[in-house]
Amino acid sequence: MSIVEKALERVQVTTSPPEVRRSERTVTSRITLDRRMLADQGLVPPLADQTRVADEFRRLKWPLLEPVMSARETRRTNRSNVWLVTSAIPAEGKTFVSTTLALSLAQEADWEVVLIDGDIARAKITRALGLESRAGLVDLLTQPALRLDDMLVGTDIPNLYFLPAGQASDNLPELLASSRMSEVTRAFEADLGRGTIFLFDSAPALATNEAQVLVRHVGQVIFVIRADHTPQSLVKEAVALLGEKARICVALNQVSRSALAGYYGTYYGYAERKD
Amino acid sequence: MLRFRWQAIGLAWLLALAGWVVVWMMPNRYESSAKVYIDTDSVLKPLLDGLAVGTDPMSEVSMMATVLMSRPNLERIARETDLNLRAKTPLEFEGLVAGLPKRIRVIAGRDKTYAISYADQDPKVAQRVVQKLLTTFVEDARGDKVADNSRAQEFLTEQLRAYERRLQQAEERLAEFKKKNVGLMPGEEGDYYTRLQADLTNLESLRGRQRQLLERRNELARQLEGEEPGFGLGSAGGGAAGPNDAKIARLRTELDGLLGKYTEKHPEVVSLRETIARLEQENRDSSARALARTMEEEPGLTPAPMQRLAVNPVYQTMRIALSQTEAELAELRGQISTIAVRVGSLRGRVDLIPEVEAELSRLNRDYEVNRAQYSALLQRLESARITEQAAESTDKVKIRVIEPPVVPSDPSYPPRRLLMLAVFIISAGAALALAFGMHIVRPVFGSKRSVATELPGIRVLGTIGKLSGTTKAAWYARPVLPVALAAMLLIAALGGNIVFA
Repeated sequence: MSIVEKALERVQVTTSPPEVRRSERTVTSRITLDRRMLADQGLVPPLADQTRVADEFRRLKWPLLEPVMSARETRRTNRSNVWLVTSAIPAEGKTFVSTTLALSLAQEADWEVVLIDGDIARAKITRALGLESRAGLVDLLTQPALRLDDMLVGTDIPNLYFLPAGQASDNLPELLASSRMSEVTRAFEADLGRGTIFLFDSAPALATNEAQVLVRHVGQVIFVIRADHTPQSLVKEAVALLGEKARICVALNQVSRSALAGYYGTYYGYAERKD
Repeated sequence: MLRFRWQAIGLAWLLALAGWVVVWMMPNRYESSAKVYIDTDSVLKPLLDGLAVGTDPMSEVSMMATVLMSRPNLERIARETDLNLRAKTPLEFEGLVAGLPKRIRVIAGRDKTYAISYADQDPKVAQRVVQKLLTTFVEDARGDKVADNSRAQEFLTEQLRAYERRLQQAEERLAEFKKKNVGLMPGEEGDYYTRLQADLTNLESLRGRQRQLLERRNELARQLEGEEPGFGLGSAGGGAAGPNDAKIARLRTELDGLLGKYTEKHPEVVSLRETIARLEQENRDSSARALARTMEEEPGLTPAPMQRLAVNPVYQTMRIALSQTEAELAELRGQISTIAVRVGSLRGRVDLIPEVEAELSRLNRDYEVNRAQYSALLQRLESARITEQAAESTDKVKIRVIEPPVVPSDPSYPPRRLLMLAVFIISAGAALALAFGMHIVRPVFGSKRSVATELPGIRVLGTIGKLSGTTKAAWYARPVLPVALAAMLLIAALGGNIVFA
């Protein structure tokens, strides 16, 4: 069953008994991802671009996976499996990148992805999936008794899990800076051995300071820049905000096709037509 | 750069609208112009050619133009064309009149044609102004020519009078000079030398005569002396002067004859004199001895014997002769001195001959020059008079209106269509400049390379291309179409403006 076929189904929230697979998590609920709907909302690429974008994301994720792989092999546990996606200003494509990256990672047999909606205020993914009412990250932080696995939402893609944003809170930055957060992310480290990537989607670094706070808890920052759009000065400012210690990589989003053609020649177009 | 398309197009529209409004609001100016033919090879030129007062055609026109656009003229024109209605205060009127010369253009064309033009918001006014200017121009020029001719004549007459005076003076000087230097004039030199020679000869002969007379006088004086001792001796006799008297008398006559022929230095004369002197001495001695004896014998003798001498006829004759001779001598002396003086002056003046010659030629030349100039002026004056009569009689008008001014139907200014286009171009240019400027000033990341350059030390994972197809991006976020639409609207607006301008 291809993902494409699954995308034609509507989103369903079921509370079916968790399917247990080797190294699969037990989750309390599952949803089915409606790719078409997600594409409409701009969270995943539309059909026409899927092949190309998939290619691009394959290239993106390997440099990110490498440190995790080496840690896994050497049986070290560090934060390299906890990633943060942010940008300087809104509408650069952070959520798109996080979602698509999560999907791309989920296709790896060796890896599983937990996509966490860290942009509590907007909670775009949460809303897109219709999970606004569910408890999420915030609750996880405010109620120490709760366990991650209890809050995760499974998807029809086996390796892909989702943690909703949760209820909005006034003192979110404080929450994110709290020791409870450290506790939670420490738990993330533990899952490195089983190949879990924890992917935070967050607010723009210059809009709020959530990213600033979160960055201390992650091992890798994926900084999304919208090409031909975001002023360089703002980008530099955001990068500075994140601090020197952060390990930042850049993904240049919405690069114009003509520019790409320059890089990759006609091969691209050929691949497109084939699809 | 495209990210600033909206700002750019906005600016373009703004500028274009503002510019077009301004262009629409610009008041029309209508230019009326007339072409005139002015023959500047006028009466003046041949008249004053060569003399100090010369006029070149261009400056004549500009002179006329300046005269034409003098304050009184302009004021008159302003009033007669109702331009003055536009000024509400005297100050405004002043400004109006002061501004006129700048707006009236007189341009020289080829072949002595000139164009006079004036532009105004009211086409009728423009035409009227040019018409008035034209009439004034023609009148003035014509009047000027006549005036110029009479001015030329006046000038010539005045010059003539001055030269007349100079001529007279030259003549007088010449005459005076000739008078003063009579005899020294070139040509009269022969006379001079003849005269001098004559005088010298005269002087010589007179001197000779003087010598003769002197001799005679001396002789007479001596004889009279000799006679003196003769008194008292043979007083009855009177004549018994001495034993040698007859001999002496004879010798003296001989001496006279000799002296007529020879000078004193002649040996015969010298010896004769010696002989006479000796004889006289002997006479005297004997008389003296006689007198001495008489005196011894009769000591009481007084000058009375002198008186007796007076009646001695020989003595008397001799005395008369002596006086005569002395008188003659005196006369001679006078004559001689006169002639000597004349000779002296003549001799002195001979040195002046070359000077006189030079002075004479100078004065002559002076006179000639004056005379020549005078004749030339006279001729010119005559020709001026003739020309004037000719001009008056035939009334040759040397000014012709080639094209009279018309009431312009189309404005000459502003060139609306061109300005509309210019506004568009400027707006577009400004828009582009703005977009470019903003792009430069606020750079973005366009490629992996720019990220690598601007964010050193940060790894670039890769690029994600733009998604195609329908996204929920709002129509205004889409790149090209709306802006293109706005741009095309702008061009359409330009077209509309141009058509209706």
